[in-house]
Amino acid sequence: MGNKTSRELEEAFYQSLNEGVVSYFSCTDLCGPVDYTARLCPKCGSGLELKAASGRGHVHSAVTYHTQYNENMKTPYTVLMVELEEGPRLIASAISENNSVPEVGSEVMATMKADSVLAFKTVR
Amino acid sequence: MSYKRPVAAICGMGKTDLSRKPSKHSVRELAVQACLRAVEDAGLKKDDIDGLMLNRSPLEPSETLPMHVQRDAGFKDLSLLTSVEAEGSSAIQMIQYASLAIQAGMAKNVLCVFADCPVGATQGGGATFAMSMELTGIPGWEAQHGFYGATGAYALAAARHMHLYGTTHDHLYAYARSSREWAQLSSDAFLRKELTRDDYFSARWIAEPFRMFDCAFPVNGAIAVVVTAADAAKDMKQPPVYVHGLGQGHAAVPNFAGFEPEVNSGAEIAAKTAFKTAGVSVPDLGFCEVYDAFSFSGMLAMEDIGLCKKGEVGPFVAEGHTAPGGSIPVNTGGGHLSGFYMQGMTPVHEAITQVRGFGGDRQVAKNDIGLVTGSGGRMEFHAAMIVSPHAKLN
Repeated sequence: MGNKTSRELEEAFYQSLNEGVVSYFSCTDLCGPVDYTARLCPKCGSGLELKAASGRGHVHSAVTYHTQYNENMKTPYTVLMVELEEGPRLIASAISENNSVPEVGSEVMATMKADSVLAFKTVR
Repeated sequence: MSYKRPVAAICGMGKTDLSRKPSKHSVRELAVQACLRAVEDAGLKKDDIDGLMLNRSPLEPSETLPMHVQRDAGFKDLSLLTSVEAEGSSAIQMIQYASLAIQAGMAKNVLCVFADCPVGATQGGGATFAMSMELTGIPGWEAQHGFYGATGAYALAAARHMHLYGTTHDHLYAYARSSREWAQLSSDAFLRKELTRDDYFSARWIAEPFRMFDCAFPVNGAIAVVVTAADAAKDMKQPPVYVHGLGQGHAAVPNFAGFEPEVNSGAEIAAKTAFKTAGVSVPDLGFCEVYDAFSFSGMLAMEDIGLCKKGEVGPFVAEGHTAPGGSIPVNTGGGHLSGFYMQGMTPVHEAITQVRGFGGDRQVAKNDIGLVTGSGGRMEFHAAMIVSPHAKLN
């Protein structure tokens, strides 16, 4: 079998979310997890495959939007950059609990909002 | 890379009216106007131009600024014609490629032009720049989470810097205030009213940690420069702006555990290369013009080019080093925040103004050696340039 194309990887990523699993891309050889922007292994050039992440991670950074750029997104809302414990970082939505969202550096756990939108909430 | 030094000279600069009103002219028309003004400023004729380099906003399609600008402007028999698409680093990159082409004998007088009209009838510049930014490369991913614009990407970076180094909102204000103090002295700047602490902190949030005055002030217009051989510039109409150093830096730091793309940019590589080419270093600088579409992007540039240590830019700015009267003037026209946002041409325009000695009330005392930077993407694409009124630096 040949390497997965970019589109196949991306579709598989969304499909895994529909099944409630956050995935990351990993080298089909021995190099391990790669950055989400990669479509080939940046170390050895091999293809990539999807692997299920644990869903645990921490907040690498966060931004709170106050300006409304999309009528479906009620402001203010916070977008996180989460570092999965496997290494890759990705943008995700934040779950607000008791009027507070996960802070930079805090431990978080993946959860799914409606329509399989990936979000993270603070681990207590 | 070995260059003959000075690498080249900038002998002409042309600017259209810059405006916050919807433009009656197309981007293409504005580019032509800026080009013709640059040719006139240089004391050249249209037939003297044998190279043309174009730079459009990365948000605009290629037909916005096509190579047919050549025909619109009536430049005949060009030996160099191309478009540079390296986002905010393009202005300096154009000057670099023009310089190399001139040294190689490919062309003699190369026009480099940027033109853009982000402010429209129905939307301000902020909305124009609010497209979703792809950080993962997975189609639709960022938009799904409401992650829009360079504003969000740079806000994430600022928040990371705050977390790692204790940079504060007061530090961001100090940067915005320093820019505004310069703008108050500049007839070219758009925002010239004093920026009080209350003005800054009471302004609306855009994308936290950025408030309104942390963000660039978009305008419609165009700026062009003419690059020529260093030897040719000394007897021309305008005081020569010698280009002594040029460098690019594209670090490709991954978004992965152990890496910090938010606080380590390719600006360091670009500046080091520019310094090496010119044979100078940070203490030799009399002024700096950095690309600062956001307060934090200017601050990060200062760290990466070495004005202060990594993580210390907040206190450095708060101590007043970059403001009028400070030890190292930075963004003497008010930069993108208070001057005007013409992407990579804003810092280039101000550096030329300072080197020529045409800064008026904002003219720096030491214009012998200046550093100019450009950056694009999410702190990904960088270029730097050293300029001087002197043909010999040391």
